[in-house]
Amino acid sequence: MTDPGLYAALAAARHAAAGCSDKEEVSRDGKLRLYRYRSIAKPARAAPLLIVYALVNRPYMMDLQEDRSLIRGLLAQGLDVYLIDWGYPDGADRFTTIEDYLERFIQGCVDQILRTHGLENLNLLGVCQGGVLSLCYAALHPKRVRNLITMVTPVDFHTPADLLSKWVRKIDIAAWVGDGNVSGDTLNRLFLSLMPFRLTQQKYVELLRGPPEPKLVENFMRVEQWIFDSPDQAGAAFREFVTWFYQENRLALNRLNIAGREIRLETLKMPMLNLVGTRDHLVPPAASLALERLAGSGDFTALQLDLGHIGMYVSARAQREVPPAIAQWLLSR
Amino acid sequence: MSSDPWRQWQALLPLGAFGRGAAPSSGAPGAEVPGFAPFADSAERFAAAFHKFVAAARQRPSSPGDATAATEDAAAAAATAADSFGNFLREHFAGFFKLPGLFGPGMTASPGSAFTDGPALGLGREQLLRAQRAAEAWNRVVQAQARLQRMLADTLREAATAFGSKLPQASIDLPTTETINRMYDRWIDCAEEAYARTAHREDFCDALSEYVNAGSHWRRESAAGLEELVKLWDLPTRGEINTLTLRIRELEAELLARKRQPEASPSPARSAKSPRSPGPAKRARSAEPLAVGKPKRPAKRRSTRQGHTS
Repeated sequence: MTDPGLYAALAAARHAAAGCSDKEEVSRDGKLRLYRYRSIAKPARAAPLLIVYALVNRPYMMDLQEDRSLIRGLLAQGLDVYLIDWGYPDGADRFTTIEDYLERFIQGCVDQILRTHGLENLNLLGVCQGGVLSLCYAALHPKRVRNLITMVTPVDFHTPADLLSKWVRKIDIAAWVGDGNVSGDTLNRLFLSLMPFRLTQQKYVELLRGPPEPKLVENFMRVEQWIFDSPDQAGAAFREFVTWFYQENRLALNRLNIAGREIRLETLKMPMLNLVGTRDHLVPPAASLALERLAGSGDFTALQLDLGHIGMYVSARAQREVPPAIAQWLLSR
Repeated sequence: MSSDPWRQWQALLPLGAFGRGAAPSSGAPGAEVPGFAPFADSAERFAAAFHKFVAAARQRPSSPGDATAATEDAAAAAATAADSFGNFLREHFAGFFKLPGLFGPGMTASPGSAFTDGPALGLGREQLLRAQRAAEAWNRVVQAQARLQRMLADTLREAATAFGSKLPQASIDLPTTETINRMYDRWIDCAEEAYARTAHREDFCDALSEYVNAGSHWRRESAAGLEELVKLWDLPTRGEINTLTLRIRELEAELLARKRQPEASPSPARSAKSPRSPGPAKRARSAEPLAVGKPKRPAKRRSTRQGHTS
């Protein structure tokens, strides 16, 4: 390894942009954009799949690059894929609530897709925090969700291994958020603090070990971009999310009430597929596996993969296994 | 990989220099890798510690066949390793819990001073009270930060001891690139394991929440003071903008409700024309309305565990 070689590779990769699949914007609401991806394979006979990504990171991680794209994998299986891009909330969004995200934004996207296809329901895929939103949406609008897929999604927020949950339980969230938004940088600092030596030291040193292979360096830089391209969080929704889920564990305890209606996981009767990363440091497996115990679905599949949180959608192994697993599961229903 | 075990680590040094502002000899003009300096520094410190450890181990006389002496040798080696590796991450993370550079000394006030404890009277009463509350909150931030930093230092000392006890004496006699890499990974593992134990502890959670809560209170008092200043110049305050934002929200909600109202009454849009796929190829069936019904298979619950590697 030579340092100028690595330096040149890093410099060349500075502008490596994430996102590889063709898509078109089909609707917008405020900062939200709903995208539909262009098909690349013979269409499968399945309802459209709407991906609801987390609010805390940008959704292009789902389509990072050609060989690291969950979306591309799903398209290759013939699925018709839609994705919600939440945009970057600013000061004008500080009062946006979880109810807004569910009843205005997700509902608006679902309406749009159902209207377009002349359908009564669609398939929903929620990722991480987006999985929590998807569970809530499905509980509020069960007739609109044909099949529900959750990926690295926390459900029981009080499992022993959940460090993030332990940390925030005594934090005065109302005082922290105030009337403002929560900066993405602050959240990044928090996430890095979960494994500071690995995430702020080792991964960079690892980069120096092999030859400066441009493709690997570009891959590294795209993930790096995604990690630190963190939108600020709409204050009200963030306050609600941390209080209701992390501090009070309302979802698992069936004490959640949104839009004046109870959210009870036992009312979820649609087929459900839960994808769990057994090495997930952000969402401990137990936090996610609790869904099987709590959901009312008689057709529930839990799939545990020996992957981490991010590895679930960008690792080479995930590319081979996750899209086919999702497609096969969907097509058999 | 280089056959010279030190070369790879030494290669980091120029990158560290780039990070400190020196221009690279190759690469894009004016380009720098500022973010790389701390990592290069970390690796370089580790390599130096490892080098020191190996040198010390080689100087120790071996005692073949003497179990007691061998145990003492191992203990001495572990102590040397703990000493060698105990500092570099601790120094590296010395400011881990500090607030960003905007905040710093000068914001604290000694408890018992006239400023913090003095009576608030007359026209400036509210302002002084606010300033006192802000100063008190800041003192709490500093104290919590110091507690966290102490815990982190103890954690890294613990990690260094664990690392020292795990060092294989055989492999360090002939260090290779792989050995150094493996040792580095093991050191990080030890640090993360020790940190995880600390981070799950109640006293750590208490200190962290105190740090955040005190910071929130300081920010609230400081912001209130700024709002007062802004009013002096008749500039819009955050409070006024918030009021307007809330009014706009109400209007938006009303508009959305009206927009959705007509959609709620008629039957579902099943007759809507099937859309054209945005894809280049024509799609045959995906856009057709799909039947809604029960699962094709009987009710089932299935858990699968897959995978060995990632």
